Amino acid sequence: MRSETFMDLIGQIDNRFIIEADTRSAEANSLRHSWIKRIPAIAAVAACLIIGMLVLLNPAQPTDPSGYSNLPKLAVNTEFGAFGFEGYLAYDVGELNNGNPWTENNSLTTMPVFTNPGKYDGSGIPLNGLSPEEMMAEAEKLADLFGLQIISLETEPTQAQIEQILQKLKDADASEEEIRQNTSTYKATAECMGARIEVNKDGHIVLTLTPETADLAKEIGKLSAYDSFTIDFDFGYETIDGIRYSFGLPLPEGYSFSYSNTSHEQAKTITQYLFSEYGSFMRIQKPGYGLTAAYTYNGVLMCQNTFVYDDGGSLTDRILNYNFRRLSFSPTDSGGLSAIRYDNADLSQKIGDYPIITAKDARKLLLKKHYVTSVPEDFPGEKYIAHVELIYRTSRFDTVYMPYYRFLVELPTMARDNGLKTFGAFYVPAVKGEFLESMPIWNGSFN
Amino acid sequence: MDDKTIIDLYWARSESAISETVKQYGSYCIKIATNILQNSEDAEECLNDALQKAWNSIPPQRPDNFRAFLGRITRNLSLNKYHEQRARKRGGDNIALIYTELEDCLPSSHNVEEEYESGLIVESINAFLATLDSISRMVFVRRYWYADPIGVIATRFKMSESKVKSMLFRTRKKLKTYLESKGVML
Repeated sequence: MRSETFMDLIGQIDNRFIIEADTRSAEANSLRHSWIKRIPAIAAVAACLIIGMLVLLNPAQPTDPSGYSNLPKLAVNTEFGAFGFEGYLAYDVGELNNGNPWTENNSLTTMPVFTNPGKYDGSGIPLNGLSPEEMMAEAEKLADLFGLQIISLETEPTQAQIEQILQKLKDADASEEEIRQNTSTYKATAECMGARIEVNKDGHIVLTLTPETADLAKEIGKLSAYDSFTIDFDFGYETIDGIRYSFGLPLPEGYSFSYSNTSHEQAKTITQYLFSEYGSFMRIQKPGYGLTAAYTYNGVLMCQNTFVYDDGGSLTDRILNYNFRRLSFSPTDSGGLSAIRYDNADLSQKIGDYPIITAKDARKLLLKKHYVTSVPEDFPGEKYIAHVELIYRTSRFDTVYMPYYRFLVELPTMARDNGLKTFGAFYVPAVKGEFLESMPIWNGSFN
Repeated sequence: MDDKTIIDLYWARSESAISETVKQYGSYCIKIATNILQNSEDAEECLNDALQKAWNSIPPQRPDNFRAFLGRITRNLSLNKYHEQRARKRGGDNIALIYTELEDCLPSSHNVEEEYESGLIVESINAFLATLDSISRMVFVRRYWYADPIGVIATRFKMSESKVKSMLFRTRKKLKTYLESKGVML
């Protein structure tokens, strides 16, 4: 009883401690390291550290409009990974409408910038996150939460595998980095009766359900405490002409969710239905729909997934929701639901509200080749600019979540005989140049 | 929408105050309630109750810190619900574990002549927290105010679970010594 009383008394502690514990974390150290890597001058490092710490100490306070000079400079991410280039096939750029609430006519003068709390190595492997014990404990907790009976629970790789790999690598005089990459436990998997639970090192949860347990998907709200999870439906598959087609969760009559040749209207109808079935835990004020589709080289319209975000509130809120908090639905090729995925990025480490340029000014910078891109050829010229939007880049290579103007530019050298055009993505930082460590410039190769 | 505008909506008795509150602080409150109740449906119920309580409290109140105000209401409601559930042998065990841990903080009750008023004890806890380094303080508050599981705290602060546990253990012992030095009795 006395502990309970004491717990009540702790409930009355000063607001400043409550807010401090909610908005700060040990990331101050990680943030410091990332700045050190990018700023060569010691004086600049010191200045940024102090400013960064001050910002972190007062994250809940709005940035003083007259105090922009105190904002730390930001590093522009020039990494795009190694999976080809970002380009979209469509007959007309209008077909690439993606539901972004940003429009060119707006009065935005600042946008918030956040530290990405996830830390990854050059190949995208998480450097921080859950320990093997924590992953296994989380898997057990989830099994308990959904009333699933665990048959086996193992990490990947297992401890025995790690020891074998370690021995082999040592025999081969592998570097410490190679050893770390190959012996890091990245997942715990609990095989359950009729289901599988996977807990990844970065905290992402995958719950795979079969026909016997599919009803558990309706209890998606039980996962609302997690920032990132997927519910997969394993309903078997059929093989036609050597190609495997998954069935996915069957949908009610009248609804079909297919990977290919789903029209914009069909995609919206099915997304609205799925959101009504599975989205209430998000407590969305006004649903907005992301229904991007693109074509294959052969002219088949492909819809890889659709998503819902909260399109209510101020334009800034809507843009943040669009970029950082989504409930996505993936189809199968047989008209079923393949997976539901929820992503809610951790934006607790706000660096500040940064002044931004207009899309018109960004266009001028694009023409001066101040952009980053994964497109393997030079910017073809102003007349090929087809579309512009403001987005946040949120890849594992982005140590900072900051806004960019993304220009979709028609690439004339990649036009296809069937009339399909290729639109390549070129990014211009939206944050004003004086707040960037350096303005990127195209140098004739991948930036 | 900023806190001041939301509170103005409450004062104007505009129902959009509720939706704006949910938008800004819904997930924050749900996390606190889920930590305590370990059940999303109960947590949602607590959020609804918290919103009702906020609606009934503002006006006349005008909270200085709306986030902490809502968090505090949610925490209290969740703990109340937890106690109801425990009486019915329902509910998670995270709080039971926290109660066990807090036994370490309780000052010895030898020579008790009178119990301190709760306000004075809270003042002492505040003064103690102010003496801690920031990481120890935040870890303590995450565990005993937000009721975060140890694993969640470890992830948040990039530490091992054992480090979190030992840090909490040391802080509890220090708090006990501090309260005893101030003559605080419960």
